[in-house]
Amino acid sequence: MRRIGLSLLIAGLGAVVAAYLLFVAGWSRDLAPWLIALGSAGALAGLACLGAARGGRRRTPRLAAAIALAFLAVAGGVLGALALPPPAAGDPLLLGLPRATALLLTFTGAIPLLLLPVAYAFAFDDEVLSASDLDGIRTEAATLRGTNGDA
Amino acid sequence: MPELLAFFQVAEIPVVRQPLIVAVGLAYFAAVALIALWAARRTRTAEDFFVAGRSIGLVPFALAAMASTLSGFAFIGGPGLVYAIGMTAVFIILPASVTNTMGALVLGKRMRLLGELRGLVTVPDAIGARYRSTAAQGLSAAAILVGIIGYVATNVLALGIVVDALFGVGLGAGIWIGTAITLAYSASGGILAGIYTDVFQGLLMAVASAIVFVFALDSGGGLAAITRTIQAADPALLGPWGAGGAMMALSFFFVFAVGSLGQPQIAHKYYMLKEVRRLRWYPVLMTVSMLLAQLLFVGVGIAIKALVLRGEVPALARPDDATPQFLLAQVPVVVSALVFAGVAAAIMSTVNSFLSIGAAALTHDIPRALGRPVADRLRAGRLWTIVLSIAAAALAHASGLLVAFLGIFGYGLFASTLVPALAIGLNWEGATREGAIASISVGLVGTLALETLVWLKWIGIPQGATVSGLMLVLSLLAFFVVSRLTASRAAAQLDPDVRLVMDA
Repeated sequence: MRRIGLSLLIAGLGAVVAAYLLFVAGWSRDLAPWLIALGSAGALAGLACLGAARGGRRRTPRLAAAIALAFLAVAGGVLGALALPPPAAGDPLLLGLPRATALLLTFTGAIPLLLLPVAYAFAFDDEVLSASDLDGIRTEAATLRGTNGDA
Repeated sequence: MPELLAFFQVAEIPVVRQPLIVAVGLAYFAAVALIALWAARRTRTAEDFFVAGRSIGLVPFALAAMASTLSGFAFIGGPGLVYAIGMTAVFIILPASVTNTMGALVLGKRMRLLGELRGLVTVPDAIGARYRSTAAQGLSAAAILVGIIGYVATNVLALGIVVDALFGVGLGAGIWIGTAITLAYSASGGILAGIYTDVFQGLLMAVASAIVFVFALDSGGGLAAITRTIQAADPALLGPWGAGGAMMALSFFFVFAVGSLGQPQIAHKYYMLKEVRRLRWYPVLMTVSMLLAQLLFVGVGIAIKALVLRGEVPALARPDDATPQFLLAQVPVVVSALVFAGVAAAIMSTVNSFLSIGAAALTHDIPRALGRPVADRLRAGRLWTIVLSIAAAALAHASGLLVAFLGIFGYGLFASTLVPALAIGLNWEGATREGAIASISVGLVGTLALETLVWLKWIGIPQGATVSGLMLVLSLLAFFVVSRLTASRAAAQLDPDVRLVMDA
């Protein structure tokens, strides 16, 4: 998980750097939004994976699935909106907003907003920090303090 | 673009003196004073003053985090920006869909555990512990301090404007009255008083925002009618990217999503939670409270745009007039009063948080980095809180709206200096002390230099890119490149208990 996270973060960051370079230098201002959209979603997914990763052989399957789904939704929302034609007067509405905007907000806003906090809460005991994990950490830290002789 | 001045604060709001608004304003300040007095009596140690005695329950924790995240910008500058550039501005708050859970995942558990095992009280403490480096700790404290001075001065100016608008005392007196009230509870009760006033202030902000959102939709005849009006005049405004275009919108998304992991007012609060396992429901609570408190941001911005386009409200002189104009024309006076109190609440909770963090940097981190730890940290913390507030108020008073320049780069400065060293460093054992110091230095010097050059118009950046975004990627690059070059030192810089926390 940590390796995947780091790879995603670095790849995402690379895409964002390329986007800024292309945009600021004026080389390809049309490509830059695509790169920053992909890069942002990748970097965020990478950071979330790094945060969810745990040492040893402990796996975090539910959190990993939620992170993958949420950031696929984020990427899908922004890339989909980039692919659509520019907005025009009289465009059809969805949920009271122009359809492209409503889809973007649903995928980039609503889906991760509902999915991530709930997945975190329900995976907490098994994949974030159980009571026994916490006891183990406190005991091991106390042992380390005793070994090092410091407070 | 001039609208970006509104980005952080209120620039100017019309006088709103009406008996009911003044009465609610006075009642608000009295309630804050009472809560602060109660909390101040519980502040007995430096740990109470800086980390609320690690005794905060989940609900107050989430509400306080929300209140200190949102400044006056959420109520005044934000709706003004939505009015001016439409959906582009929404990308500033859209990252909240992921940032609250990411904060808990990336920072929450590890900072709370590290705080407990090491007795840490500040964000730079965590950096110092992670890399076994007082230099990295001192440098990050200096960066935080630079950001805080501008941020607090800008917020104090905004508070002065609100006090003046409510009570008509003049801007100068407004600045000093607002500062005196915030200082009274910040210096006496530190962050403990701040947390409990934040709870009240956060509730007030969420309730006021939700009520105004209903009025906003109603005044425009519903969301579809508002959209149709705006679409007919300017289809791009409510298109997916707004008037600023895709690059600006996505640049905002990147900076405010990744940058959220470097905001010290949130990171610092993780130490205060009573028990680390209470983090479980934090993302849910924080997301709900942020969602409620930001409804006004979008609702008022689009409603007032539609009303202006239909000729039902005169065109605004400045985008920042959106909220005051809407409140004075479209909602009952009692709701307006709640919102103006909410604006003061948003500003005061932010100022208190930053004063506490700044005082901690001066009392704890910088003396430690210089090898001269302070003996009586509680007394020194109170003293530095007073000095910082007076300095910020004097700066705001002397420079007026020019001080908004200092506030503009606060968010970006925290992001570029703290995201690599803190957020990634606590989750990647390959990070090194040298990488951390390089990224903090690049973030600090680069942000100050580039923002100043852009402000002076000596260089230009194409509309769509932001200095904050550029500096965030540059500091991340410096962090990874230097850590890679010094990779052989990484293992030796990691204490066993820190590794234990990183593996937790």
